[in-house]
Amino acid sequence: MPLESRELTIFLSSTVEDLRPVRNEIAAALRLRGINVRKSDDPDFPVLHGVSSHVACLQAVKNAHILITLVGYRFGGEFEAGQSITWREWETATENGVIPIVLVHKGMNDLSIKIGEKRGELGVQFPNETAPEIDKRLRAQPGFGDWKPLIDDLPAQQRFIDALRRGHVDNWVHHEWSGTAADALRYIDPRLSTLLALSRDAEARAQATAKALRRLARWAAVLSMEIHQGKRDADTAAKRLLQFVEQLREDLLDFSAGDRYNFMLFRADGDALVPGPRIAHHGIVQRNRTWTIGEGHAGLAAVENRILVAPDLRETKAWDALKTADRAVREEDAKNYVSAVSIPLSVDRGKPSAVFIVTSSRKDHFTSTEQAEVLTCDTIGRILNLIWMGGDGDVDSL
Amino acid sequence: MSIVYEAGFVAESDPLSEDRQLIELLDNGNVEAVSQRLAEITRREREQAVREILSAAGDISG
Repeated sequence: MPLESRELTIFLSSTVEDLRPVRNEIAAALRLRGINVRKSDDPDFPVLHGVSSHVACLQAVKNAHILITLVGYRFGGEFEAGQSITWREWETATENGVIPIVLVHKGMNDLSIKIGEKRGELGVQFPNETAPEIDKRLRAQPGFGDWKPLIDDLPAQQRFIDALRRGHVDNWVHHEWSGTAADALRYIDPRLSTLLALSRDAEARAQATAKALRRLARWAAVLSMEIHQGKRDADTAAKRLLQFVEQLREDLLDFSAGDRYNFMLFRADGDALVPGPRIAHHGIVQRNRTWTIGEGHAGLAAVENRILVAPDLRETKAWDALKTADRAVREEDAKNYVSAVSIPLSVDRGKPSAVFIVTSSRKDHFTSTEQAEVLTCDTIGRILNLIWMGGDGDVDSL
Repeated sequence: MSIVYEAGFVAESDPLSEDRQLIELLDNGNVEAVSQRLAEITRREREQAVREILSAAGDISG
């Protein structure tokens, strides 16, 4: 794809009346850097027939790569009760994967701290009042009133700043902005450089994972053919594939050099999960324990018949099953098996007939079922399922 | 181990030839040779990726 079609697009979001000159200066500076800047007060801002200007802004935010939000002393027009259009634009960005860079005017930030304290007091005094009702009371307080058009609805702006601060760990909010374009660019430029590096890293990583998975699928094809030709049994085929997973563990699952890994298949046999093919870090003593279904991480995944992810296995009920081991073994387990993913495998989507477990010695290595590495574990499990579930299960031969 | 590695991997008539040979190396317990071979393939692919990026960048500057 030609790079021209990937022109970096930034949506510049703020109230207009008070910040027009600084918006224009920032936009001009960014355009000189070859960036496509969208802002609602530009004459060529795209508004389709029948679409309100607010909706057009939100659409433009969704189509941008980055949102720059400038927060001054004006709350601005409301999108809906209690929420400004600027606030909604920021929310739309975070909901749609658009990266927000937020600059809050230092003076407004200092003021918002004072308003927040007063809001707390009023909240205790009038516990049944809504936030906008408390806003009205705050506006009547000395120092928190309007001075239109430059200062408008400071209490509502304080709620916005509070929302910007809370619960968005990947959000970049700068509270020390002096209000000038030069100072804004002092924050924006390094952020853009960091984003370029992050984006390059993320793309390289995604490509490496895709290539490793393609390679794994090719090996699986060869191994599968060999099983059908009677040249290889399913257990050695699965073990070979796990050896390749071991080789590609960095690209596939983000294992680093210091991490202890463990890739293991269990076969369901009555109420037990019997150990099958396994590849683990040379520092892990392989005890190849048999689990009861419902016990341990793999056993729980089998009984619940869903993928289980443990950022820290030691803090889950799955860890109870390991507590029965002697102290030295327990201590070893606590170092080796920290984060885990268990994938139930089944034929024809029925009751699980096997479980594929991946463990790491790194806390928080695996954190959620949506994480790329966990999805890759699932894909590897499916490939293993195809190869292994047709075999005779002779684990003693390993 | 190096004898197997030096024997060569590419056979254009069979697209899975290289994969078969890697599996054979593992069958023979030659894990180190597999690591070396995969590292070599990865290095080649990364060089190719950089060439593609530079080539695309050349397109827009020209």
